[in-house]
Amino acid sequence: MSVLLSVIKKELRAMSRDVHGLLVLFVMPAAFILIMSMALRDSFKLSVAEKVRWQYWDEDRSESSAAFLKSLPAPEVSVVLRERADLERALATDRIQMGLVVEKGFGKVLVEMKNDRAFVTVWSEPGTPSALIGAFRAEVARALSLERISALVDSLEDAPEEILAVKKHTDDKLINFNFRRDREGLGDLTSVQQSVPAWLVFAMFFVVIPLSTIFIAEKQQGTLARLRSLRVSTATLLAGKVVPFYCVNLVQTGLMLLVGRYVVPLLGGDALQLDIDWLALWAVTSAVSLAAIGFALAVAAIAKTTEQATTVGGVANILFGALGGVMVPKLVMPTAMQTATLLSPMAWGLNGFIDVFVRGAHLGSLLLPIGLLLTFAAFCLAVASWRIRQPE
Amino acid sequence: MLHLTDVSYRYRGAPSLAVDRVSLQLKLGEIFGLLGPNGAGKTTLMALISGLRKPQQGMIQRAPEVAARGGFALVPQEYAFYPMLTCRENLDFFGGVLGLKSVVRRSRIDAAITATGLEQVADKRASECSGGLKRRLNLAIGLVGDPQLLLLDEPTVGVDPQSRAFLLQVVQTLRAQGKTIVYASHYMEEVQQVGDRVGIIDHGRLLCCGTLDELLTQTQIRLSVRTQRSLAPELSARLVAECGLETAADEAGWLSFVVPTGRVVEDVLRDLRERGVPVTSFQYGCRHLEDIFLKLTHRHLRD
Repeated sequence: MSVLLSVIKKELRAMSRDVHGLLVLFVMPAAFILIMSMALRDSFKLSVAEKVRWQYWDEDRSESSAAFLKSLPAPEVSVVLRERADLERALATDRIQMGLVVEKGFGKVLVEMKNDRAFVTVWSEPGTPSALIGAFRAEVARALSLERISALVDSLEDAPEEILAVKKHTDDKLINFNFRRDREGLGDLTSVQQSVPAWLVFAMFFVVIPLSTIFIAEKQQGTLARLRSLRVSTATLLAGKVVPFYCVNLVQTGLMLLVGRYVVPLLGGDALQLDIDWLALWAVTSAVSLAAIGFALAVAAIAKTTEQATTVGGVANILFGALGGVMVPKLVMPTAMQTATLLSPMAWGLNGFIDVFVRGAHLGSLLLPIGLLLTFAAFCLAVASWRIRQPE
Repeated sequence: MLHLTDVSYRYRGAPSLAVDRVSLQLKLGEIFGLLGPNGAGKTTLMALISGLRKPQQGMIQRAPEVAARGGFALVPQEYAFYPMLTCRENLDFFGGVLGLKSVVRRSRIDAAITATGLEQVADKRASECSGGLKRRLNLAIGLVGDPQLLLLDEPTVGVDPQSRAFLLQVVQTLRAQGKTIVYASHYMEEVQQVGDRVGIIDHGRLLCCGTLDELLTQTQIRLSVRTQRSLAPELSARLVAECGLETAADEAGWLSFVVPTGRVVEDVLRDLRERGVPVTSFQYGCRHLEDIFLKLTHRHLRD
C-alpha cells in the first residue's frame, strides 16, 4: 500500500508541474462549453421561428391584416420598407431570410369559404435552412387559422358564448407540452445542458495526452525498467496512474459544472440545471473516467514514442468525438449515423451524462452505458497490463 | 554472491544471441569491470542479472542478501528519474517504492545525497541539473536502498573529466564500504582504474575474465614515440620492416611499435633517428587493457 501511495504522490507531483497538460485538461473543455453553449443557444429553443430574420409588406392595411401580423414572431425592425419592391431587395441582399406580403383584400377573403387565391405570399432567401422555412410556414399557417376563426366567429350573428370563447383560445393554451423525464423540476432543455456533458466526456478522454507523455518518458528514460527491477508490480504501476487521473477527471467534472452553472450565464447563456441525481452523476463520471484512463494506458503502453501516442490518442479522441455525437449532436444525424455512434465509447458516456442532465435519470436506468464503459475500461487495462509485462 | 552459469538470451527476431553462454561468479566486495564495445551485450547481461529479463538458457543464482528486495540496484545508462521532480523528491519516491519507512528513508536520502555530493542541488528540479549532476542523481537513486550489489551501466557517459573523476571516486568509496559492483563501460581507462576483475564481452560472449594483472600479462610491451610531425602510413610500415619491429599504430599523436623480444629500446630509437624520424618523447614498459580489448574485439566499427 505504501508503494502505491508513493507512486500516486509522485504522479500528482509530476502532473501539477505539467502546466501545458493541465491547460489541455481544464481550459480547453471550459472554452468549448462556453463557445458551444452560446453558439447553440437558439437551436434548443422550442420556437425556432423566433430566430428567423423576416419582414412584411401589408397591401391590405386592414384590422384583420394587422391582427394577423401581430400574432406572428417579431419581424426584423432594422429593415424599413417604403414599397413592396423593398422586400425583394432586402431578401436579395440577405438582410432578411423570409419576406411576407399580405395581399390586398386579405380581410375580405379571410371569411370566404371558397377562396381560390392566396391572400398571403411568402418569399424565402434560398440559403435559409429548411427547418427555419418550415417553422416559419407553420407559424404563418397557425396565425392565419386563428385569424380566420376569429373572423368567422365575428361574422356570426347572435353567436352563443361557447362559440365566442373560441376566439380567446390560442394553440398554446390547447397544447400541454411536456418532456418525459425521470425527475421533476429540470427546467427547459437548453444548449448548456447538452454542451456540458458533451465536452466533459471529450475532456475526460483527453487524459491520453498527459498520461501517455509521462508514461512513454518513463519507458524511454529507463525509469519504468528501474521500477520493474525494484519489483514494483504491474498492478501497482497501473493503479498508480489510474488513481491520480481519476482524481483529475473528478476535478474536471466539478469545474465544468461550475462553468455551466455560473460562467455561461455571465455571457448571456442559460445556467446549467443541477437538480439531478448526484449518485447517478458520480457513477457515470467514474465509468467514463475509467474508460478514458484505460484507453490512455493502452495507447501509452503500445506506442513506442510520445509522438506516436499523442497522434494516435489525439486522432482517436477526435474520431470518437465526431462519431459519438460530441461535435455534432446525435439528434441531427441520420438514423444510420445515430446507430453508428454506438461504436464510440464517448457516445456511451455522453448518453449516460445526457440521461443524467437532460432526462433526470437515476442510477438504475444507467446500467447499460455504465456497463459498456466498464467493459471497455477492463479490456483496455488488460491490453496495457499485457503490453507492460512484455520486455522491450 | 552471484553465480551465472551458461546464461543465454536472444531478442525476438534477432539472428544471433545477445548473451551467449556466459558463466560468471561475483565475489563479495569486488568491482567487476565489464568491458565491451557498443552492442556487445553488456546492457542485456545487466538486465539478466537484475531480473528484468529471464535467461532463456542457463541459470542465475543470487545470494539471499542480493535476492531480497532492495538487495541490489540497477543504475541504468539513461537518466532513469523524473525530470520535473527535485533531486530529493526523486530519492524520496524511489525510497518509497522500496517500501522504506519515513525515518529510515530520510536518513538514506541524506546519506545518498552526501555520498554523491548533491547537497547544493538537492531541492533543485532534476531537469535543471547539468549532465554531471544528473549522472550523480542517477547513482544516488541506486544508493537509497543501501543495496549489497550495484549494477552500474555506463555510469559516466557524457560527463566532464571532473565529474568522471568524482564518480569513480564514489565507486571506490562504495567498494571500501563492502559493496559489490558490476561496472559496465566501454571506457577502458575507467575499468582499469576501478576494476578488481575485468571481463571483456563481445557478440554476447565473455571473451576473457580475470584480474587486471592476469589480463595485462597477456599484452605485449609497446614502445610509443611522439614525433615532431605525423608520419605517412607508408613510412610507418617501412620503419616496421627496416627496424625489425612487429606492428605500428598511430593513435592520439603517439606512434606505437611492438618491440620484439631481444631488441634493445636504445637501438630502436637510434634506428628511427637515423631514418630521419624526429622523436621528441617516448614511453616504454606500459601495458594497456586497450591492447587486449582491441585484440579480442577487433578494430572494425560498431553501432
